[in-house]
Amino acid sequence: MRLQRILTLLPAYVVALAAMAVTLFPIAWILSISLKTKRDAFAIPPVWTFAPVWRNYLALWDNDAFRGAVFNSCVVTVLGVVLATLIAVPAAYALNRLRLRGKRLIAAWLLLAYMLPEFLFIIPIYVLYQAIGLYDTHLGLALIYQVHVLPFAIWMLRSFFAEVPVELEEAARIDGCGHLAVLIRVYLPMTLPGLAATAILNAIWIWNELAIALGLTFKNAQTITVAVTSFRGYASIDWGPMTAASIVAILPMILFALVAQRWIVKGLTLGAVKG
Amino acid sequence: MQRHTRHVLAAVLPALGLVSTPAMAIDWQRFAGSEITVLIAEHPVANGIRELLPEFEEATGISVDVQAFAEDLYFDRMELALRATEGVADVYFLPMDSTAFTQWSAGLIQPLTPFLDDPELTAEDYGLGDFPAGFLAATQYPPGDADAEDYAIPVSFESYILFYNKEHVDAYLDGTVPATMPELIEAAATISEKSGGQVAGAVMRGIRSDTPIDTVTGIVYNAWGAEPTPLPYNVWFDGDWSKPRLTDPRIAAGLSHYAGMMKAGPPNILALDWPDASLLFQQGRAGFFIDASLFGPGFENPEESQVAGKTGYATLPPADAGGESFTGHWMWGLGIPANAAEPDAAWYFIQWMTSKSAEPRIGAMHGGAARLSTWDDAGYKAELNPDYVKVVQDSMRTSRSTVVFREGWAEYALAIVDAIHEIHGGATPEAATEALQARFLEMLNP
Amino acid sequence: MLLVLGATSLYPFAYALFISLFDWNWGRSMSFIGLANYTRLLGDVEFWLIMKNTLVFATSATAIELLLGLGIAVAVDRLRFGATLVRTLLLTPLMISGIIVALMSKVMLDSFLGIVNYLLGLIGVGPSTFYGTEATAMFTIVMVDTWWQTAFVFIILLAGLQSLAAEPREAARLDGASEWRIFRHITMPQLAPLLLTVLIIRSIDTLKVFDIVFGTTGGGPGLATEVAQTLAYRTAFAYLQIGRAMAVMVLFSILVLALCALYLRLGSERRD
Repeated sequence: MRLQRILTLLPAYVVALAAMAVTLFPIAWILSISLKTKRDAFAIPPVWTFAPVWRNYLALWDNDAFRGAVFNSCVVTVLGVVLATLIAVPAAYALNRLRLRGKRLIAAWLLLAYMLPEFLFIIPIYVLYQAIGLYDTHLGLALIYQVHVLPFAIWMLRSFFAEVPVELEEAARIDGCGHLAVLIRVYLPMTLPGLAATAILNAIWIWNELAIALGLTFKNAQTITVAVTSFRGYASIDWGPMTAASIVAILPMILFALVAQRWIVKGLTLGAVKG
Repeated sequence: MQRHTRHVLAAVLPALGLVSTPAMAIDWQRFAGSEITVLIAEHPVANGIRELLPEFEEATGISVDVQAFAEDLYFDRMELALRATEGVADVYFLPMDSTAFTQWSAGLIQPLTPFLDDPELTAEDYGLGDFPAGFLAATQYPPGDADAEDYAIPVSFESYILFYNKEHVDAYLDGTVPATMPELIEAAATISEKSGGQVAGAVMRGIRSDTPIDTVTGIVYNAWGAEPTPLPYNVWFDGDWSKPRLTDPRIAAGLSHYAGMMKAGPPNILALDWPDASLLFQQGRAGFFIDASLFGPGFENPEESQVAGKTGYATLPPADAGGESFTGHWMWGLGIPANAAEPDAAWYFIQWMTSKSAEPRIGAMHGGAARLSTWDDAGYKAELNPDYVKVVQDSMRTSRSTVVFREGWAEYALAIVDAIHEIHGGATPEAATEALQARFLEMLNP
Repeated sequence: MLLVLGATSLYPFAYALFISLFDWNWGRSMSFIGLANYTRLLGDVEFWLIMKNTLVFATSATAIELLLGLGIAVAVDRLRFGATLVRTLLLTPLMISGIIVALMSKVMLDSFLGIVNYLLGLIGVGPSTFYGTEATAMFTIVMVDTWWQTAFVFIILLAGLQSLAAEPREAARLDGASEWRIFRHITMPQLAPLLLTVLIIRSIDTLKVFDIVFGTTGGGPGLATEVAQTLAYRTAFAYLQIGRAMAVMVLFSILVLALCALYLRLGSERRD
């Protein structure tokens, strides 16, 4: 019996491990470049054992602009994700269950907003933002990012909400719950994994976004991605500092992903209770 | 070692009074209290500026915020900043080519001549004539006009020269550095062959983009020879925009020289942009490399480079035996946007950083100083490899600006690079240049 | 709030539509040329080639990522311990910004200096040119995008799997059905709506690809990897033909809209 269980689990682990290996190899490589001198970093055959060089990371620590960029990105990302989530949850609920006129129109609108390429934005919004004072502000960035993250959130949440069995909602209604209560007591717990996934993906998207951040910020709201991609010099790419910065840039996202996943665990246990 | 020397010199020179303070006839404190923003690309000039900044701020009382970005990000930022309704930058790093020309045509930059002519704003000993006339001409608008005004002061230039790996030349070519371009192309092929594919005979920028055009132009000048190529048309047009002359045999020769060098490149040559190409040479995997002179100092850095101390420098080998070597140059400068909030303080900044005293110190970081006097400056030369200094000075003598004063030149440049790729892919130079000529005529008359 | 969204998305589109009727070089001169930009583009062989490239890239990348993402999600769903760690680690490629992925991939896949060719050499496979030849460049970009973005599909499908009610599967298991049958007849239908959504989203994302093309091949060799966004970027910022660039974007948007309409049609037909 035990053996059988292991056998069914084995393929899953094999696949997972293979995926991890392929996924993590380039990242390990990036990490190694950040810890080597440039000579060693690009030597072929590769230099496998080496004394780690920490100065790239130390330099980042001393770099005020970089620290500022990390802070800015955190603010913009949190703002952006919170805004999107707060608006998307009721919106997805409404689109799903309520009888609304013009659902198709709204869906088309969302689609249009999501698929607009970034270049389309920069020139017109640049002019607009300068006029209304949102240029180079955290809020300005978070707002313009909604054009991408909000449709995505609404879309995804709607899909996840659609999976919640109608019976549960009807049961809650019979108990006398209004819309809000249904939302909080029935939908949210059941769709926590989906909510978490959506939040994580939106956060990552905002964090990594370059074109709009480049066009709509100057010094006050400069984001980390702009900072990382700036480590390119005139006659060569500053591989050491750039890879170190990239690794540092991943860390907050990893932290966020770990935290967001606890919701999944919570959601699963809640779901199990509902049985 | 280099860093230490630089710091020692930076400390010692002023003390010895070898550096004349620029504070002669003007009041340097006139704009004390102003704040300016300098928008610049990540370039050793940026590093030089950062190092000299405390001195400048003390001497003038102007506080400076330096905003530096990687080159491609910088270009986007620059274009947006120039068009902002409210100025965001007071000084900006200006590519002295058709980009600046386009910006001038759109009314986005301020002329510097009024500042230069004002004795209360420009020190007597500033010495504008210390910059080669050919350098300044790149940003004198309207081009060709007798009353043209200067719109930028050059801060760094690069000429196109040949780098070679001494070890590979010794091993595969018996130490003979080729004397003509055809010989060079053959030598590169030899290295590729004899090394059994371990070393690329040559490496060049092979990527499909308009950015290699300046290197291409340098090589084409070399095949072109001594006949003048007046601006704004440059070598590509015969005195008029309606008369492109891409089918001229000398241009065809130049383009095929470039393609020939590419043929001796690594298998993925068509994906190599300048960071990749220079990295390959820097790590010792290529025999020859033709590109901007300012890659040189990076090759001599032993911490980063595998060819430190093993790099040879030469001017471009002439197209024919006994001929002369020619090349092109390209420059960065400092300019003032039309929407700058503090143009006067901005001018002080530019003046100070490009003065005879400051230039050698900034120039030592990139090896492409724009002032003639700097190249005789002992402190400047001490920082750089002597072969490199000599070759660059030689190249400056026969170097022409690669600028073409036409808006949207990038599209034409891309067509030229496409023609090179066609030759690389097997087309004859004649066929490729005829197609190129047709393409030009098409673009000129939509 | 949806009104705000509408305003922010419609305004740039309207602006683009407007500008595309002009010949503007981002400077002082701006002349009205009506639909000339459009007729020029639509009659240009290169333009259609570029649209084709964009479609080829989008379909290959989306298909591969969807399949791989589904497979990995199913596998990870079953893990008993270490699941959180695995999930997070698998997400890491997504956390790297596109342009860094592009730069790193260029160096790792370099003919001479690349670690990948070196490792391939160790196991006896000849060095590949990856980005260097027309034949291999597109494939390489698809591969890199797969490495980068499969996690996106993975995490959504995983969340979907974890939200599914367990009873139907348990019941089927008790009845003796094989895992594969359960997957095919119970899990997949339950996931279908989510799959469609992910398909649409990834399709749109891949159609909009920019960083990993521009940062690696620049659209080359020749036009082998030039896509809609790189064309637009080049036309706008290098050629300074803002009007034409906007026309490219408008045409491209129409293409994407058509594609999405197609998907939605298919999706609603399936549901019925």
